[in-house]
Amino acid sequence: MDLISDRGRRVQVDELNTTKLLAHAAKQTRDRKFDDVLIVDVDAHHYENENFGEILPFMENEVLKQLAMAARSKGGRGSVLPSVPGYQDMGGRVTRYPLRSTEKTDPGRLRDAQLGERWMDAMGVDYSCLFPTGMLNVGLHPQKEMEFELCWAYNRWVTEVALPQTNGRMFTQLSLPFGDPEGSLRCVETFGHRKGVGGWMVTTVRPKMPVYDNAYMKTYRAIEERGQTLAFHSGPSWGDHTFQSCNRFISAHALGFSWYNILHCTNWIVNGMNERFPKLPVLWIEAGLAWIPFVMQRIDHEFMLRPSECPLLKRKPSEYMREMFYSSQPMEIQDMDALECTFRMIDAENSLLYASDYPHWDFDLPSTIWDLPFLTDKARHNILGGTAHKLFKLPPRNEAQKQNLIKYGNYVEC
Amino acid sequence: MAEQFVGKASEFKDGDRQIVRIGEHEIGIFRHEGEFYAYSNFCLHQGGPACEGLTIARVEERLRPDKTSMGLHFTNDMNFVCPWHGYEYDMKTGEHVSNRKLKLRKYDVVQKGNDVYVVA
Amino acid sequence: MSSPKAGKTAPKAKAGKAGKPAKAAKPAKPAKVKAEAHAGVAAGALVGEDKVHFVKAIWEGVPSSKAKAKGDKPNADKAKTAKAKAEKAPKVEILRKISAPARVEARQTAESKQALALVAALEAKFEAGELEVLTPEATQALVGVICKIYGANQESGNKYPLLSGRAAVTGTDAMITCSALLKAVDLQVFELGMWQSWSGV
Repeated sequence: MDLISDRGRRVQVDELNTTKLLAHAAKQTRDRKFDDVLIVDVDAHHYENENFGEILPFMENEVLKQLAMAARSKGGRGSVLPSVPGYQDMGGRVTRYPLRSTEKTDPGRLRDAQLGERWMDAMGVDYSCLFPTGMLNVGLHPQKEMEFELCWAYNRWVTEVALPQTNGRMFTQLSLPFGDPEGSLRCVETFGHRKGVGGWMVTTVRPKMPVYDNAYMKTYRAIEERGQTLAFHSGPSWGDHTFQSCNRFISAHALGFSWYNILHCTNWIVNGMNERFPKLPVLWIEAGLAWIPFVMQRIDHEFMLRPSECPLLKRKPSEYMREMFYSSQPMEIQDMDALECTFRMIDAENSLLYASDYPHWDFDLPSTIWDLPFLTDKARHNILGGTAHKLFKLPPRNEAQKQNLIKYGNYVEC
Repeated sequence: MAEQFVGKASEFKDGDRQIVRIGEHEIGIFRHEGEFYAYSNFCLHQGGPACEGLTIARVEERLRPDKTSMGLHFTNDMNFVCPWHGYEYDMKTGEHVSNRKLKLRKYDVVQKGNDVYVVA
Repeated sequence: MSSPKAGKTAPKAKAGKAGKPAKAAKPAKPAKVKAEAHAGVAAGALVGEDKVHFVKAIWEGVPSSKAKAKGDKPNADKAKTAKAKAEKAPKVEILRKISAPARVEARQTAESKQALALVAALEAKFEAGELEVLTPEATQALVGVICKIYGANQESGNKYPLLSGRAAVTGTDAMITCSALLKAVDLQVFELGMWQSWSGV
């Protein structure tokens, strides 16, 4: 296959083979003996749009289902999901995007599961949390009933079709149709008990999202009661008026991912949600880490001046923030001192969860955590999988992993 | 360090590439504008296959004398890009184009008649 | 999927613990010998020694925690073994061959074929000493249409050199023609210079 390069030049490349592409990752896995370490990736993706043929029939409402399925029929009369502009693949420089369709998998088993195993094995990842890609824009859909229908259908497909084909290697935090608070509660009550469901994911790319609204309290309570997680997954939205001043994708992307988590995390904290739901584990996903010390300092500063606006808080905002969880990717490994300070400020040993974000363009390998010069062995093991093991009750896959979990005080019966 | 035969010059068209393993080394050998260049195939970022991705001309932003921008343009300088995350290296030096201090290990290439050797 | 907070203790106490891990906890640095082999990295100049070790670790692996506890330096051993291996019989294994990019073939047109045939005929007569092979009117018409076609292609992004190589015309020929072109459209050389710097051409 050819890739388009500069001035119409075409560069010949082999068809994609994830195992081959990640051969160097597999070497890192062998060198570091990752087989002995339980590694949990709390944020990995698949391209669910490739399965819409199977997903959409799970929609409940007959009229909306007909609209969605007709929109996808041959000739493409419309689109099901809102799309935002962007160049994730950098003009094909990140070759797995344009070559994705060329990768061969065996018929008879879900392609996403086979591709997942290839990269998980190469990286030494034992379990990964499966998240969608295009559905991260579902919050931009103007119809809340369509948002609910799409999330409902996706959640059914993931739990009934996809996860059973992953040999237990993948789990999920299902999509909450946050635009529809009652629909969100219905999803939790319907799918919460299903195998492989570790929690719930809210995509934070939304024009308006009052996480503190009374309408959501029942949903939060339902998730807390089930001992599950609530994850806020960020994303870029170049079309959002905030980012319309950005003339390059890099700006909208670099700021967007952090921005939506900054926004919603601030609202979450200021409204005392941690006091209201002290046993609800909250995860902030895919925004990197640099934003967290920023928010801690900003909100702590103003909290001291304006306590009357957040009377539910009994401690400094940063203390609540330290009790929440953060996914590691895309980790800003630029200034090692700053990163070390960030790890200290967020109590990374107990709050940080390794995430690859594979196959997206800025994925991180487990070695980005393992090789950090300032980490203790316990911190390494905790971040790569120990903390997630406790959070999601994922059993070790061999005896060495079990012994390491015990050694670092992470082992729980699963 | 010894010269290792990697191929015949006549079989290396301009723009061709070859990835070889020599002992512990994994090396990408490029032929670009008649010259041979050889670099470590381990990206300085996260260890990806640095020499196996797209080759693409460097992008520059042209400014007028009054500092107004004329937008982005391709230059005639060639880069090669690590396919994992997009780290972009200068074909002639192996330097990262955004930070020239980051440099892939460069291997000497020796041509003797029609035979091409890499010193590794 | 329950008791999510298990393992999390009071944040203040934890923060203290997680503070600066003891320096002794740092992994053994990769052996110098091996490090020098990859001296191409100059990341240290920017972000400090740790970054260099981090980058090297990405390539070479880091000592396992067990070995570290014993104070071993597995990377040094690895380097030695690798060196011994390399000295024995370095074998070149071709992993992949990636072909050159295909050239973009220009679309051949009937007019281009006719033009090339005309040029061949003109070149032959010119070489034979026939200076007046083209009348002034014919020359003006040819140069005019080539200026228009070339200019429009350049502006639309279809960029290619005007001549196939340096030897196609002499420098004097080029200067005479450029001067005549500028004169024909009433432009001064300084205006050309100004336009070039403003337009970036």
